[in-house]
Amino acid sequence: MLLSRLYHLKEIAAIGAGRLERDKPQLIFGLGTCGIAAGGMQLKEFAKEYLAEKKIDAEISSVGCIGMCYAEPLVDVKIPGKPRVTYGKMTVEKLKEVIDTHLVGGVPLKKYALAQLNSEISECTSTTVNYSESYEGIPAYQDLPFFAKQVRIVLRNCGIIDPEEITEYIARGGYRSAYKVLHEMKPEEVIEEIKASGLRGRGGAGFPTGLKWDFCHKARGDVKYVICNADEGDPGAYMDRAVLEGDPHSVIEGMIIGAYAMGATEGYIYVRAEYPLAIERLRIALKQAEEYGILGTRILGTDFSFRIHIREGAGVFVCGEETALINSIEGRRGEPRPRPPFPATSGLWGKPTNINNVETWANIAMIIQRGSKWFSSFGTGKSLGTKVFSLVGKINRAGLIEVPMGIPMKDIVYEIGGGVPNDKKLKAVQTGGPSGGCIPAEHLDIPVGYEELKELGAIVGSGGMVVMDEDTCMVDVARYFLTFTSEESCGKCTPCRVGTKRMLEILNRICTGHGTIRDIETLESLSAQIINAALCGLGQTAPNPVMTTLRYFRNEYLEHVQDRRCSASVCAALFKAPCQNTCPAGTNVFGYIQMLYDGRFAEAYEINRENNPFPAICGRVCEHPCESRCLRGQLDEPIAIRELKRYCADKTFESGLPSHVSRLGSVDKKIAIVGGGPSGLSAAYFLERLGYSTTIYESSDELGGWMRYGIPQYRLPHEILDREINDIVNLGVEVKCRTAVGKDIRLEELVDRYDAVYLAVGAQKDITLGLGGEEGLIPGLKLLRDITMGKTIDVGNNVLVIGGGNVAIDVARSLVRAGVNKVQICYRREEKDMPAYVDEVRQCKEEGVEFHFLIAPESLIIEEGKVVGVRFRKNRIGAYTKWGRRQPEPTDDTIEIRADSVVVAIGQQIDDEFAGDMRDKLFERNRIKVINNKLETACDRIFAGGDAVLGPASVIQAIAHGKCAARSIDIRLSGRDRFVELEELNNRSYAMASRENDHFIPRETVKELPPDARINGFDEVVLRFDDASAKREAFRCLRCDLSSEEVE
Amino acid sequence: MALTGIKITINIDGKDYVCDPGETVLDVAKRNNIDIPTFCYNPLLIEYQRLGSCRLCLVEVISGGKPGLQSSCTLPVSTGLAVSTHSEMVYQARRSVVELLLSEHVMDCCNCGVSGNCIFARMCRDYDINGTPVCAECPNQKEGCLLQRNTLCLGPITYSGCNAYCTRKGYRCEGCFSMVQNEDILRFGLKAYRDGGFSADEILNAARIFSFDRIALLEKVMKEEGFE
Repeated sequence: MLLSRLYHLKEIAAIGAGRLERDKPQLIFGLGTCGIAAGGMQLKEFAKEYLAEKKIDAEISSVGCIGMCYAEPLVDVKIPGKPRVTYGKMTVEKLKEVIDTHLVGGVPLKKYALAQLNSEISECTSTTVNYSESYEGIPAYQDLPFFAKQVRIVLRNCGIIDPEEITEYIARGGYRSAYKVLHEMKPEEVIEEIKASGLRGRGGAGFPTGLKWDFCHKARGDVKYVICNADEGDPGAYMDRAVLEGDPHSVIEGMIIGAYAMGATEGYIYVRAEYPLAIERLRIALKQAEEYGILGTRILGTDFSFRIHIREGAGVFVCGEETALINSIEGRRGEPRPRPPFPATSGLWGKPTNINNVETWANIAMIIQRGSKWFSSFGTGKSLGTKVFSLVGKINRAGLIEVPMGIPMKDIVYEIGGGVPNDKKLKAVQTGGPSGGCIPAEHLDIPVGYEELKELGAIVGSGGMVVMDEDTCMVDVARYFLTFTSEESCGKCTPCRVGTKRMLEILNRICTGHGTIRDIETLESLSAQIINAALCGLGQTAPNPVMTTLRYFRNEYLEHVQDRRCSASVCAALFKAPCQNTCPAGTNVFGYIQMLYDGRFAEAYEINRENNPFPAICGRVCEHPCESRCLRGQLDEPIAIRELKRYCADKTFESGLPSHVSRLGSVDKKIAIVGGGPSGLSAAYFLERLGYSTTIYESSDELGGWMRYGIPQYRLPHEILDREINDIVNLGVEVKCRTAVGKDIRLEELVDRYDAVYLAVGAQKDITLGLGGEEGLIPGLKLLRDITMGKTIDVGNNVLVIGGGNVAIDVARSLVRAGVNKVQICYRREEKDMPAYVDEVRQCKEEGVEFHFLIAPESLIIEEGKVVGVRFRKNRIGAYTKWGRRQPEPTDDTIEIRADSVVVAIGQQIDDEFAGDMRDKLFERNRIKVINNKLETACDRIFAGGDAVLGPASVIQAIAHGKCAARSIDIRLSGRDRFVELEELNNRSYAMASRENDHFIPRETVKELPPDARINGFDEVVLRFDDASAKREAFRCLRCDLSSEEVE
Repeated sequence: MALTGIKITINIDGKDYVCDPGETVLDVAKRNNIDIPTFCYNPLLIEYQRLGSCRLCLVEVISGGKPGLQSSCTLPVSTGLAVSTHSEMVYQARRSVVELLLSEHVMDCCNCGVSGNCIFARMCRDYDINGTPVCAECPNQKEGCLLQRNTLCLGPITYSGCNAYCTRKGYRCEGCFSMVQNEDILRFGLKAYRDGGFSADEILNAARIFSFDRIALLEKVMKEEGFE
């Protein structure tokens, strides 16, 4: 049947509507390439057999990808007169259940159901589907966070219609625009409409489409061509494929309209051969369109003739560049041509040619149908309409999305994408593939638009959006993209052919630890020259990944070059195992776990002590960053590194074996250390081992600092603390307790008397709320200190603790143990945003502490000069910040909580009294400023580290700073790096007998005291591993430091 | 395309030139003796569209086109076009093109048949690049190389840029443009010395006169090559 009148279209639409809303139950399979790869085809085959076997009267159909790639394979069930229900992550068993209960029984299976399609989710208006009443208990598509912010114009039919059926496309309003254009509009009017819509090229460069059409329209020539560029090659991008697979007719209709406007009679779709399904569906679509007289001679009842041919690309990235694409269609080598002349005047076979991207073409029909005004109501500034993105990488909900331009990137990542999995931190978002750039987390609030992204050094590009988390090394990312571009460079022009090769060589050098500072400078100058001098877009944008990573992550390059270190544990040549690389102190984790597995506890303890003087302490309170990078975590769960550390320390103590540390001969130099906390003690430990004589000045009665006064005994018993501190003091450290620098002795005096001074004063002054009348409040850290020192505390029976960090939790749990009946904690954000350790929060709840979330203190309730409670402002969860936390927003509600006393534990800052007259020189804002990573301060021979530099941090970071300071002091005083000599004294072999442990083995869990046994005293809550579990846990270690040849 | 009779005026380096439609900027420049260096330019290749590859003939479009660098061999003349052939941007781009090409080039200048007519040596001189040894500029290579006449010429390991002033006149190179800091060139140079039968001490002593602080690399390469 040849369509020539509008009522023909309407007749076909009626047929299509019957297919969309059938009178039989229907199983719908999402069969884009993504669905097929996830096993959708097998499910379909199974369903066919199953329906035949059970003689179920139902129909099976398939649609393209709706975008929810994270839940593939998708199967929908449609009962006549009821909404379509989508089931995600289907398997054969689940499908059987769904068929039995929903398809046959008519009752949707809520436990597998993702969403129901109970109203139109796209901008398509002429739908004929009646969605009728919806099911209860299943979210609607619009209510899913994945769809809530989407505006679907290009993807209007993807996942809704059968792409191999033109009638369904027509039923959804298809080819009306083409009909309207051919019958009612002049070419100039069409071009004006497109110009007015503000549509810009969606392939990457963002050139105004209407203008491009105008050039081609005005170009003189008897034959003209339109081309659809479907040579999608960016890693991580698959928008074009999804459109061609899910809705090929939308592209064809766009091309018909464009061809009419520009006077072209032939069209080409250049699609890469790696998209066989897209090609197949395109062929079917073209054939059907020809059968209906929509393509061919004298189409849709007019005098206009237009044909479309498919050209398959051979998988060459550069052929996405328009002039190279033209060369390829002509049968030449896929190399770009210099422009001018532009294709609009001399393109395919020298004729005026217009090239647009798949997504651009797919927009056209909707712009004609609903008007340019409607289209330009989406978007901001110069970026109008919507853009399809493929959201991939380290993201919870990966998939294909279409959002209005100008939407903040954080909304895409956190709301639509659901954030980064496993609670990791987002590092950057890469847009635009190899031509684009990396946008760091701190810029995540920018609106997604052509100009905005360009300003940051990235581009919108074709729409790939790769989310990267903290485990990504940005130098490695740059190297990855340069590898890609240098391989895909066509070799025509010098800057691209040779330049990318040279850049890649430099990046390889940096990643293997052979880079120099000059290499970074060369990268920069070379990038600038390649951008200026290269012939085509590929070369001109190839340095972008390097330029943006250098711009935002220069410290990572410097780290690779100066310290030969890759803190993301990616560049394999620069570290042995991720655990050791991640530990701030560089603890040899795999070494001691091996020793432990071999039953050599004392040696395991010694290995620990080589880099960390406090294994038993860290085995209890360390924040264990090592575990988050443990490679075992990618297989099942990370090794319980901290608990194993504690196990080997405790075992060594029990056995009474002496632990030996390597030492160098003594040097006649004296070092003063201010502060006897973990950082000061650690510095003393390493300096003594290097042969220096050290003196610790501590203002309190005893050494230990935060470890003694800030961590309650139920987490860290004092006998453990004393034992490890004594081991350090016994090396020969002179200890001066109850000597406050700044009060009892001036800092200047120390500088005069000693060869070097290390400031490790910590941060132990409580921050106040700033509400006024706070004299009546109890500072959290002071309270902890009093409890630790055994002072009697008078707080009443009902205490309110304000804060959400570890101190707040420690205070609350200590108060419970001190006999307070009712303890409440208030925090202004949600529970999952608490900075406190998750385990501690759980234990705290078990012990009966009440929690109030999302309330912020507003004023104190004071009666008779005494604080009797706090008035809180209730918060609600607001928008996402660029860091991925939801910002609390104040509401109108307030709440009063009364208590006998109120403790404030909202953070600590450094007490600057010790510095005296040197404060101005040492401090920057509230912290001591170090001028380099050697921990030097602006004053000669004064070094600083720990919380005083970092702000409140962790024990292991304080230890690492002590170690680093010791090394820097040694280099400063002796002129060479004697740390290496110290390490050479401990030459151990960590040989391993081969073991079969690469299958699923669950992580061993430690036992805890039951809550009612805990709260009556300060006994240690967490118990250590028993021997068998420790051995089993050590067995799980994969020994990432060994290559397969090194295993015996 | 060329329409007879109609002329177009373009501006190169601040001066107006009259030309025919269909010509390229390079055509106009060549006709008017304006220096634009080229590598890949060959009029015979135009119909194969192989031009615009080497990027050495880049000029900066100032007005009348998309601002930035364009290869002059492919840039058609148009009314109002103004280009600069020797701006800073052009200079830097050409310099990096030459450097990149040199990085791919086999630097065996002592055995190269070009003999005194090396385009790289010229470019290195024009764009201030320490790239090629004196041999690249020396015309004596095929016959009459001083090394074959048992004269210790430092040409193979000395940077070019002097237009081989001494060796042209038959004097040996004393190395006054300083020692090459490129291992490949030094390696090829040492091959020539070995063929001539010179010892390491002789060479080092001669090199020390002008490059006493820059012979570390030469010593390293000598060691690696087992040169004594």
